[in-house]
Amino acid sequence: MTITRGQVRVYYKAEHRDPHGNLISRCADIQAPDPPTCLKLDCLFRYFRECLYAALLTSYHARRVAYAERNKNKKILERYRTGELSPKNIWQAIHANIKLRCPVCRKYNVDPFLFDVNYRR
Amino acid sequence: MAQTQTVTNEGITELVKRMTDPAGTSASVVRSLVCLNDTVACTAGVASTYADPAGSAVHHTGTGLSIVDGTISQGTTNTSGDTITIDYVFTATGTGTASGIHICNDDNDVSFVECCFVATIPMSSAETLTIDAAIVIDQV
Repeated sequence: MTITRGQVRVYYKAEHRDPHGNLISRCADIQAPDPPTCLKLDCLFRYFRECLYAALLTSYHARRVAYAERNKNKKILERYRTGELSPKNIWQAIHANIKLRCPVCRKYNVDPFLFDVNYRR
Repeated sequence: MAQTQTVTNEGITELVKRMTDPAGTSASVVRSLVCLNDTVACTAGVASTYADPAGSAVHHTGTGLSIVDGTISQGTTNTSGDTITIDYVFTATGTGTASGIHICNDDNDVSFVECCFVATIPMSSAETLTIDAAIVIDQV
């Protein structure tokens, strides 16, 4: 018997702005990874990698929004308000999380490991 | 030949049309949204209900974040007409914290969708919270 599955997905975007229309924070919509469709080792490993990435990304955006909200009337890096550039892989997500926790890195917009030029702006 | 079954493309379009119901005659269509009130971030749950949202969250009942009719339309993501879009701009009239939203029916007694924000959003008077949500029904 062949079954074609159906799915219902929900996407959302939430933008918080001050009375003058300035962006305070934008919540990111993070989708959970699809479950593995096979039991091969590489399928399971890919799923594990996607779960780890989703967890790191969620952690980053949760901290980012909280940081932007705490500093709603202050000048901070625009990426912490917009959520863009968002980390694209596990390595970038680790960098972004560490940078967000590091006041010096945030202030001077430098990478905590000092060599990832892709995550500077 | 093996037995097969699938939801058809036009079936999806019709289903979404029924749920958005431009004529506005059904109490069960997607119609309204409300902000969740909690000081900590929630986790959306399948067992959540209109009367009992996720965690310790409750619905806002004032300060501009309470239940309202959103702008509902039928859109396309993958298959023609497979998306219910729900938009609304909340304008706070006082202070309050939004931890997420519920998307509800026309009767305002059932939650179709629970969205929990990644972090709580403290709102002050005259600040706005713009919600753009989409429910996509599709084959895998």
